[in-house]
Amino acid sequence: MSPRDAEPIELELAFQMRVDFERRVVTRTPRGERLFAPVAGGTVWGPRLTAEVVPQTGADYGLQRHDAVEDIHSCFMLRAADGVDIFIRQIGYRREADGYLRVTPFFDAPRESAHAWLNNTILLGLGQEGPAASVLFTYHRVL
Amino acid sequence: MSSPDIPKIQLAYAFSVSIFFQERIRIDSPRGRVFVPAASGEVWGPRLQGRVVPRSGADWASMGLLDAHYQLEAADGSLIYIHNRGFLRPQDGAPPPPAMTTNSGAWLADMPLYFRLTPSFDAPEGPHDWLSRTMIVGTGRRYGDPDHTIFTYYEVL
Repeated sequence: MSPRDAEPIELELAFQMRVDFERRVVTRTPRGERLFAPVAGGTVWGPRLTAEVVPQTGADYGLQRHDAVEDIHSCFMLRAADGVDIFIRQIGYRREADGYLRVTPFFDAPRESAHAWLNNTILLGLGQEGPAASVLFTYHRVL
Repeated sequence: MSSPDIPKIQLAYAFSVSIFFQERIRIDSPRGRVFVPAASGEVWGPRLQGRVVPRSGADWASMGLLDAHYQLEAADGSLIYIHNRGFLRPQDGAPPPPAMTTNSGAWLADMPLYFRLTPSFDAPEGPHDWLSRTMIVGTGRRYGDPDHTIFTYYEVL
C-alpha cells in the first residue's frame, strides 16, 4: 500500500553482525528487570562494513518490561578492517510472544574516515537469536 | 552479495502525520540546539487516525540529530507519546543547507533531503499498544506556505 504524498522507502543490505554475549545479569528495578549482558566479541561483514566487535567494550543494557517486551539498549565498540574505531548504540524491541527482534543503530565514526556515512544514516536491524547466547543482526540502510 | 540466507526486512505503510510550525528558535550552544514547537497537525492512515495535540511538544534537534517529542491524540481519545528521532540533511552530494533562522517558514522546503526517522512511542494498553513494541521507520517531506512537514510511517514487520 502506498500512501498519498509520500515516497516509498527503499532499503539496501548494508552488513551483518554476529554478537556474542556473556552470561546475563538480571537486576530487579522499579522500571522492570534490567538485563546486563556484556559483549564478549563478534564479527561484522557485508558490502558496507567489515569489522570486529571489540570484546569488553560494552553490553546490552536491556529493560524487560511488564508486558513481555524487552527494550533493547546496547553500547559497544567496533574496530573496522582499516583500524578505525566506531561506537555503536542500538535501541529496539525484543518480543517474547513471537520472537520479533528489531533494532535501529546509531554510530559515532570519525568524520574523515570511510565510515562517516554511519553518522547520519538510518539503518534497520533484524535480529535472530543464534546458538550459545549469540545474536545475528542483519542491517539494511534506509536510502 | 544478495543471498537467500540473508533475511529481508518488510515494511507496511502504517500512517502519516502532518505537523505545522509557526516559529523556529536556534540556541547558539556548543550542540547547536534548536527549538521548533508543533502548532498543530493531523494523523491519518490505516493504523492510526487522530491529531497532533497543539503545543504539546517540539523538536529539540542538535548535533544533526532530529529529536522531537509530541503528544498524539487518537480518534478514540487515547493520548500517545511520540519521540521522533532521525536525520534531516541534504542528500549525499547536495550543497549544504541555508542556516535555519527564526520564522524561516519555507526552510528546506524545496531541497532534496535525506529525511529519515525511527520514532518510538508510548501508547496506553489497548488498541494502540502495538506502537510501544514495534519498530517504525519514517520519511519526512518539507513544505512551505504554510510551513509544515508530512511524515510517512511504516511498520517494520
